[in-house]
Amino acid sequence: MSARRLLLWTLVVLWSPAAWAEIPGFTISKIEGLNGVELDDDRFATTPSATNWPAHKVNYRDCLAYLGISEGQSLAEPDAEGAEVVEADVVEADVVETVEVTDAASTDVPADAATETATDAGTDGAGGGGGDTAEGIRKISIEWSVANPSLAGRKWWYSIRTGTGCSESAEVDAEATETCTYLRQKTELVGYELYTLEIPVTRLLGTECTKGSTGDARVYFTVQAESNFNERDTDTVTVDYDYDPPKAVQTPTLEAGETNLQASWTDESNTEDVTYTVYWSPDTFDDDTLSNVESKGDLTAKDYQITGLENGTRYWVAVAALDDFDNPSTLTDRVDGTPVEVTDGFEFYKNAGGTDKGGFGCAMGDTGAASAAVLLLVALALLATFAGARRPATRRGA
Amino acid sequence: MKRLVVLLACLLAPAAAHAESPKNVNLEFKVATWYVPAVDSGTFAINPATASPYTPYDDVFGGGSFLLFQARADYLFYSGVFGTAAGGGGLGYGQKSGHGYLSDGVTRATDSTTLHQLPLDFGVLYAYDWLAHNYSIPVVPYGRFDFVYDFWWFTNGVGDTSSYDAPDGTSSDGYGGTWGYRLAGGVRLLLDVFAPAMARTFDVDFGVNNSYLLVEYVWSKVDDFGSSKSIRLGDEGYVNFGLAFEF
Repeated sequence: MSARRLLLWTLVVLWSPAAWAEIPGFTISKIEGLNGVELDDDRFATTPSATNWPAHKVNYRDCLAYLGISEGQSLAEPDAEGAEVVEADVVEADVVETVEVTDAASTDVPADAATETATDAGTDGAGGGGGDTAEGIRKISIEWSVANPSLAGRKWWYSIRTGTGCSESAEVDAEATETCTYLRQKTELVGYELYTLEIPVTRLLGTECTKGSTGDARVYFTVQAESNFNERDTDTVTVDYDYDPPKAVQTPTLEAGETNLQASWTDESNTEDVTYTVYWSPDTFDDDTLSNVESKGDLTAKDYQITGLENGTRYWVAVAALDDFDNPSTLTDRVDGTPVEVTDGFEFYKNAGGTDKGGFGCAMGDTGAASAAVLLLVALALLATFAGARRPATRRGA
Repeated sequence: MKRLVVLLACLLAPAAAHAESPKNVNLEFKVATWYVPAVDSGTFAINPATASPYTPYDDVFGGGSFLLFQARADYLFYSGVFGTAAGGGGLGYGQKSGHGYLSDGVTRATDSTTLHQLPLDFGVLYAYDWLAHNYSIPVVPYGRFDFVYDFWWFTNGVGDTSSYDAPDGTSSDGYGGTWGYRLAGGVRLLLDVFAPAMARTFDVDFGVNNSYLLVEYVWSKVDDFGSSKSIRLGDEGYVNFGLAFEF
């Protein structure tokens, strides 16, 4: 290879940024549920300041809640248009996007486009596949912006897609497929704006929650310069879902102590990382009544001392494992135990005739007073010696 | 004449290079082995099961020793031909756990119970180290006398500090402090003699003049100077092992 050709190759490689690099300055500022969807921010981070950002996890119970269905139910399938057609007007059904102009003077966008660009459509539920509430279709709203697009006098475009078949390297106007549809077709990027994308929950989670399934749903944000293939970047928002609960642990054993029960159990079924929650109550309980039961969660050890109990009262105890999506296993069998009175070390000492009453009062008396006085005098003498001593500045050493 | 000056310079140079930093503080880290508090030497009721007095420490904690970790700092107020004298104080911590009893007084409970001790001490130290520093004899005999204030507390099965309610309605706290004193004698092994170059580096980099291994035999009486109303935490014979540094 000639030196000239090598130089040319080097220039080409250096000149071409990765086609699917992250979008410079791309920011998700807020995610929220709409129309009855209450995102559980323990798992589903909703702002970049959240400690669990950027994790957006959905467990089985979340799925049911977000879709607004009960266990075993599913929503109606999306209608034919919503499911199949990839034409922009139809595919964007239910997807509403607004643009708020934060600095209108800095853009060339017409005023009407700047206040709200919406693909309409969808408040009637077409293509949403159900999930409607009195307020409307259950949705998740994503507020996003590109902080510093280098407009440089050129037009920039963006599009938003979702589906299992989407590619991060696709162009801003790549053809939609059955497995990758547009939430927002190629649209001009107006600059330093705040965009809000509203997505029906069913577009991310489907129409039912199938126990045992796991995976993720991604929303692809692609930004591309006009007529320049290389100036294109894609960022994704990933929603992970896991509806596969851990296995139940072995039934715990209890050891009764004073105002406490020591529960311990084994777990040979779960190989993934799980934590444990211990439930206890004076009344028996089951999976459906756990909300009325005291509990301690986030345990990594396979034992736990339940404290604050009443001696002589019978308590029921059960344990569940939780995976990192907080899916709970089924409860173990309930076992019972009764805290008992225990004589601890100090009580034993006192019962045996020990005379120390504790506390920090001066017990010196009887035979001890004279010795104490003498020793105190010795101490004072030592202190006086210490205070008056003058030692040489340097020492001989090793 | 010029040669004589060069010769003198050569002779004096090593001495200058070996000059030590000032030495003011003795720092010790040590652990007591075979320490058994003399709780059971107090006067106790007769255990009907054995027809001999109760021995609470033995009955609950199984007797035996536990490790008592200690740190101590002394100010060196004399160092010379008669050795080194210092005064200072320190603190330690140790604990011994066992199991309580159920209400029948015989059956052991699964609940643990623990005796904690945190002794504070202050006193004087004397070490005859002149030979070690001047004739490289690495063994330094020493002795010390300390007053001790031994904080103690018992905890029950849930980690709470114990308390006791007597049948007559009076109550006692499961914590307190007991005065006493302690005598110790031992030997220190001056490590600098075995690795003088390293010792010099230690001094230059950290200001540590001398490093010792130590072993000492300790006799202590911690019972509020003979009070019959105090728990006894002394031990008339245990051994400390540790390290000492002079700064």
